[in-house]
Amino acid sequence: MANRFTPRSVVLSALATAALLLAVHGASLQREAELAGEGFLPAPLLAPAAWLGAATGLDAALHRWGTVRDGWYDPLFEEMPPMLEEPQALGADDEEEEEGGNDGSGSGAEEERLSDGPAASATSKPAGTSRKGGDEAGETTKVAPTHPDSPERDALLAQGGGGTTRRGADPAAPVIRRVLIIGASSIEGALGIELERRLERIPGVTVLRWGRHSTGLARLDYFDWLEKTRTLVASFRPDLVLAQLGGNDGQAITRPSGAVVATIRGRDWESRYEGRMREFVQVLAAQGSRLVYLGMPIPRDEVMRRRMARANRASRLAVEAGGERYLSTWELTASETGGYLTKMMIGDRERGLRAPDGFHLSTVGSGYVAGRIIGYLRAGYTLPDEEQATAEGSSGPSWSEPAPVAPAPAAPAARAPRVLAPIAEPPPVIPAPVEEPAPAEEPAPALPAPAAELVPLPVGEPEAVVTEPASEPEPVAPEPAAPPAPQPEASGGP
Amino acid sequence: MNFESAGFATLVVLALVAYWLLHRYRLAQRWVLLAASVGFYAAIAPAALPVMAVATVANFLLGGRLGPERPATQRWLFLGVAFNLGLLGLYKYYNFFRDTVDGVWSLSGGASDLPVLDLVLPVGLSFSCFQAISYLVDTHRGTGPRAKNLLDFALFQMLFFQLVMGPICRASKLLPQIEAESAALPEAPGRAFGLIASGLFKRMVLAAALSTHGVSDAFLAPDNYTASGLWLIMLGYTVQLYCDFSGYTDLMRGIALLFGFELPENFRNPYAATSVTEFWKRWHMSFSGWLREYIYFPLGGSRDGRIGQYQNLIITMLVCGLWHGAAWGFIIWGVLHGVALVVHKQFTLWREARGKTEQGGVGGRLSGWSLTLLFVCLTRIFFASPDLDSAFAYFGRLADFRAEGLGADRILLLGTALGLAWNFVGDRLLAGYERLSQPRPIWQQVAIFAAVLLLLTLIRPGAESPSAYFGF
Repeated sequence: MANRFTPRSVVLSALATAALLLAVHGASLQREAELAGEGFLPAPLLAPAAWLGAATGLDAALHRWGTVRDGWYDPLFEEMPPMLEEPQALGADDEEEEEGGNDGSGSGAEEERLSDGPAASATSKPAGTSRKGGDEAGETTKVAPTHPDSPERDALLAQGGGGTTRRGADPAAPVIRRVLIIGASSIEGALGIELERRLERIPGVTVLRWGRHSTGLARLDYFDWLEKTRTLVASFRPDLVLAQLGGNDGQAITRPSGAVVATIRGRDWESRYEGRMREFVQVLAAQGSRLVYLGMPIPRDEVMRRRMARANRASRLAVEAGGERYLSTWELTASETGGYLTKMMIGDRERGLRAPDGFHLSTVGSGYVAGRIIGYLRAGYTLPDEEQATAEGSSGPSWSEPAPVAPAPAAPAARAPRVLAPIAEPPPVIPAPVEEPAPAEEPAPALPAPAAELVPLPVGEPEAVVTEPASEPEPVAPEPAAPPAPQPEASGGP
Repeated sequence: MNFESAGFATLVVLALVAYWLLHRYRLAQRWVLLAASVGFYAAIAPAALPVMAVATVANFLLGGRLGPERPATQRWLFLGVAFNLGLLGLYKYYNFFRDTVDGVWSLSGGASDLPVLDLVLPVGLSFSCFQAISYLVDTHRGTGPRAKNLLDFALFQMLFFQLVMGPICRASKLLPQIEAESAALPEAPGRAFGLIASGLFKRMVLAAALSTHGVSDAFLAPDNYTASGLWLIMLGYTVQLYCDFSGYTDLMRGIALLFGFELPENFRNPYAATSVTEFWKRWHMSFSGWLREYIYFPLGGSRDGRIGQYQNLIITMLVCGLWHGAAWGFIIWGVLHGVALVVHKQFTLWREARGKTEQGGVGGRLSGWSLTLLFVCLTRIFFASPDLDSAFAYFGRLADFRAEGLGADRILLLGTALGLAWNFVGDRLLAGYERLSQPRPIWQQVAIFAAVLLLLTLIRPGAESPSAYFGF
């Protein structure tokens, strides 16, 4: 046979190479195309390859290979302090909390403000001082008590919440084997990648990540996330959906036709957005998938901050009304005074948390936040490795401290109505944050973080912190040292 | 659409199959290429497609009015160049210009009333505009052919394997290939396969591994890293850029060969250069050639005496920096390279005056190589940092050996070493692949290529290389 190309041999070669790659890589190529949002590989085209891969065990072998490969290529976070690793992250946090005695008192203070309303907030300590103020902070903290021997803390731990999560603490918690991660640029980028990498490392967990930048729920005329979610969930059948969609939603809400439903400055924006989010939750509920919705981190820009706070607040109301979980990332990325953090101390080192655009997380920041999210998942759900360890009657490999307390008293894992295992958000512990300096004439605002953001999810009584959505207008940021101004959004968001 | 994605691979395979099935119909082949190119561009930047279409039609019409036989057409050339620079200026430099004017105004307490435009630079516009300018100038001078029809010119401007990041082709090289009566298949398919494999290895494995291991993050937050870590990351970034960009060029040259096109070489072991002058003869050669032809020579080149030449060098490199982006970091980077070219020129003259050769002995070459690499790496800090503050913080941290922080990890070390080694031996490996593959029957060559592809897709890290030059 000739060793030079002819037109016929080029065609045959191209088809043969493509066929070989499809046969071996069919499923993963399809997944890759989905991740990139490309439509070049329609599912029917790859169905035979996917079937062949599953039947011969090739897909499983490639997955194993991929797991090993990812491990081989993953030394960056191995060199990070343990806090960044999801297994040790929360435990490490707790140690610091215990030593420092400042376990998220900012959150506690916020909760108090919320519980008592605006009038009380005028007399409560600002978040910044309360975070550092050891005992005082402990007094104001309802959810995450400071003292290691505190019975409240034990109760919290026993319910699988707070900063220490335990394998098998709640054996009846829903088992999560298939996780769909969806969202906009953060999910397409660093945060999504970090979540995917961490989840894929857990044996038995299959992950599909699908992100598309510049999209959200507000502009269905630009991209219809409801339809996309429906399709993704129908094809992937996830046990759990991790979603973060609010980043581009600080704008007018439109219908798929392009008709404007509410403008961003309109009074009904928040309720409309909540309605849109309810639709999103219903899409998942209709197909039997659980949802953990990730709120947006605090942005640098003031206007964007207010908009994101509103989007977060509306999202939380909708998500929780649907019986699903809302996880805040706001305070994880905020200073103790509720301001925007560019860097933070992680372990004994200062690290850049945010991307230069003041909105997205940096690689390190994404690793940090993803580690915390995995911690939440471990607390509220059973992951396959835990399930296996429980079945074997052993504690399994220690990925966190052994539980010093009794198992969870209740295991609310029913599917209808949806009552998920409670996840208490661990109080943010941000030692020695370095806040971005603000201009002299406009001091860094001691923004009370939004209600939906700073308040850890109270274990067992979520309704206690659900506040009415602030109507309007956007708040005036109080001085850092002054108590938060008693105004609608001071309790509801910046 | 990433160049290593399944979508792009599908596009290439479909286009290739359709293209060669129609090998008896050259016009149909051209339409296939145009459809693939437009489809590709629509997939990566749908909003920018009208801009590219308008620019293509406008340049074709302007080019039709130019030619050495029409001496009174200088104004059309001026209009054409102004049109392309205007497009670039609007999309790439307007907001930078506005911010700068605003900054100057604010010093006196005022503010400029220039509006903020929400413009996104169409992908590949910089390359496309420079290629169009070269077409117009060459047509005017009579050193390049004029496109016979809009289809051919549209292909010249938008070929999908050349559109996004070059190489910038001269009309005299590319148009004849487009207009040829029949497409020429590569005599050595092994070379096409080797280039594709080399490109994928450099991008999918090396650049991706380097970009995900602290390299990009270190430029955002250098304070997180130790001095030694930053030194290695700086070298790692330099290697990443090479792997990313030259890998792209290899990949596209290989794909172009399969369509019967020969694209110019863009990188020739750039980090083996023993002087900055030599570096620019090896790095992004199509672009440095463009700068020489259309900026440096028109400025006067070396004809204006020594001072004039040095001035022209610095201006040319300033343009080079500006082309990369509207930011002070790029400007400083360009000027520094211009100054380095001047210093090297002066040094060469000084050596020649003493009867010494430019290269010198082994010691001279070694020190020249080390200094060049060090200079290239250090100036990359301006290139990679998001702003000048971050760049200066990086420099400060480089000298602070007592500072604590993250070190570089072993993958960064391994990737940097492999990438640097590839810079020296890549050509030989490519030739070896060709020797191994070429004598075999086609089906065996294809089998070897498929096996290499399979291996590459298996060993690549999860993340993708972000294509640093995508945004330029």
